[in-house]
Amino acid sequence: MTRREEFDALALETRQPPARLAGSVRRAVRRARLRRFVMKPLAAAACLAASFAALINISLPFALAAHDVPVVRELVEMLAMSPGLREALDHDFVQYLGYTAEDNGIKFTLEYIIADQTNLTVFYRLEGAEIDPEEKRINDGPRIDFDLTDETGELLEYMAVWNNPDEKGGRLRQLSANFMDRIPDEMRLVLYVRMHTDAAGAAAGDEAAPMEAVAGEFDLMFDWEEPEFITLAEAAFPIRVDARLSAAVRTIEIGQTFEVFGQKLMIDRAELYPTLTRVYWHENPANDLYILNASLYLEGAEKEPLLTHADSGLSGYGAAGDESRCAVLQSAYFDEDEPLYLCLDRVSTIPKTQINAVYDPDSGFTNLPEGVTASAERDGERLLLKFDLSDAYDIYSAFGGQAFREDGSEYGTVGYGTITGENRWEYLAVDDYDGGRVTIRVQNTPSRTLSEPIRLRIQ
Amino acid sequence: MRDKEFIERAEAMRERLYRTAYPYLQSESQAVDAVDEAVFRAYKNRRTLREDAYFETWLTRILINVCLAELRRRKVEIVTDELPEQTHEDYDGLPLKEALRRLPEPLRAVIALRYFTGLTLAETAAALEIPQGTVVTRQRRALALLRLELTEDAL
Repeated sequence: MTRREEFDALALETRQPPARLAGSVRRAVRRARLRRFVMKPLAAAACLAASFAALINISLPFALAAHDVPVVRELVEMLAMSPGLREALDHDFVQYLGYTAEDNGIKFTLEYIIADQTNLTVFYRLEGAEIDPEEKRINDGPRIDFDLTDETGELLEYMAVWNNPDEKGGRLRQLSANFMDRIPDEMRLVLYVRMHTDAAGAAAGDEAAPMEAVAGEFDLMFDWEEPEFITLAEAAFPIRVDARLSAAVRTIEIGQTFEVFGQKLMIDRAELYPTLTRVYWHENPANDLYILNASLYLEGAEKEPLLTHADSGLSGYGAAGDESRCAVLQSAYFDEDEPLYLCLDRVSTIPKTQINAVYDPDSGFTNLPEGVTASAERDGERLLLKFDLSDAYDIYSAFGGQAFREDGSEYGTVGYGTITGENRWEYLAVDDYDGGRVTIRVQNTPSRTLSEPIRLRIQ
Repeated sequence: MRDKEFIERAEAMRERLYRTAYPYLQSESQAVDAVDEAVFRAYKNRRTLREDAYFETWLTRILINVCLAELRRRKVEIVTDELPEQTHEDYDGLPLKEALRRLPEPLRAVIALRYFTGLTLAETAAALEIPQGTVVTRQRRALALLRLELTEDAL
């Protein structure tokens, strides 16, 4: 082969690029977009833990005296629609923290906590977490998650009940955690800014985000798969709840019975905390019906204001048939000298024999609650259940996602429901379906309103 | 430069970039890796490009730097392995690929851009940030070392 022939052969090689070259630009762009966020998160978190170990919490009055009042005004405005938390703020049940941390270009600022024995509300800011509008698609994120752990990193038991990740720029954001048991005096909050990986490839020609399917049709819903999220930045903060705040509770023993539609509902006691009230109750085991939901609320002497569910958005703990259940309501802690009434105006019930609907692959559905029709479809490893809800349903879910195998073990499920406009349905995807009978627990039926609310003075 | 435009123009250059990287690295997979890396670096720094008209030469320049960095890394590896150093190069006695690889970098760059990437004299000069006369000189010298007769129709 002459040199010239060698050259021609070599030139030809370069004109026949490998197939992998086709994705080169998209790969590189995706990598660049992700890389902006994912550098050195672990190192940053470690530094933070060390940096803040020596910090102590500062009281709000001190912060008010020493720091910028506009920040406090923002907090007051934010709580305008949260009477319980606002009341706690007015009574200085707030700790100013003022911790800051930066990771991967995103600045975290932990401003305040409002805490009592059962509930923690955290107010924080994020700066630099917005995705370039040119690159942003629907549901691209970022998504804000958090963990609360003990000092060893063990995850604590709580309900993460509220989060407003959509605030823009450095505006104040809020998250809450409601603890079944007493809140620990010391804990560690880890905040995560996350983005799902498909978002990064959007402008590089990828298909539309799969999350869009959630708002779409039945088939699309079940085509949807949980997008994979990556952590863009994280920051860890120590939280030490002021002993003065975590000690505050007033307990009112009640021991009264409400009778509704022939069923007895026993009210045991109320625990009043600075940010919420817990009312403990149980059903009389001799009842014919299970009480699925009871609409309990608190009233003052003038029937105003109506103190319904807590600001956390949590309505309560427990399920039909449990020995003890708990309604979580607005706080009445600071109204010690005022009359206080516990009221009930609505319940939803179901005959005890109908608490479980059953799907049998051979014979179909049995024991469905009144007003519900259903269909099923096998999709590979999943069983897809569709329930149509009658007009009587005032809540988007009859079942709530609990499904069991014949041996009593629970399936993993994904559910979605709506009662908007003409759409009145609930979908439930049962994962790893074994082909046998499926028992589906009923959680809601249309509520029935009492002709006259029950009103019991408890204080 | 907006993202969409960046991606469209980079996509349009993809094969040309590969043809630039290949003579340097002489490996399909490493040439693609170099293209990936160059686009990655360009995307990160796209806002520093003041004149969109220079996008192609700017991206080519980045790619050459990536290739050179890779070659430097390889050289370090070779030194580490204590291979005997060539004191005299008989380019004519080597296969063309190897002869190209052993050309001094400034000469290899000109050959790669002129005869594999297909750039004009002016474009090559812009990509290498040298005068066109220097390109001509280096081109002549490189071809002489390779004992290879190439004209414009070889592009």
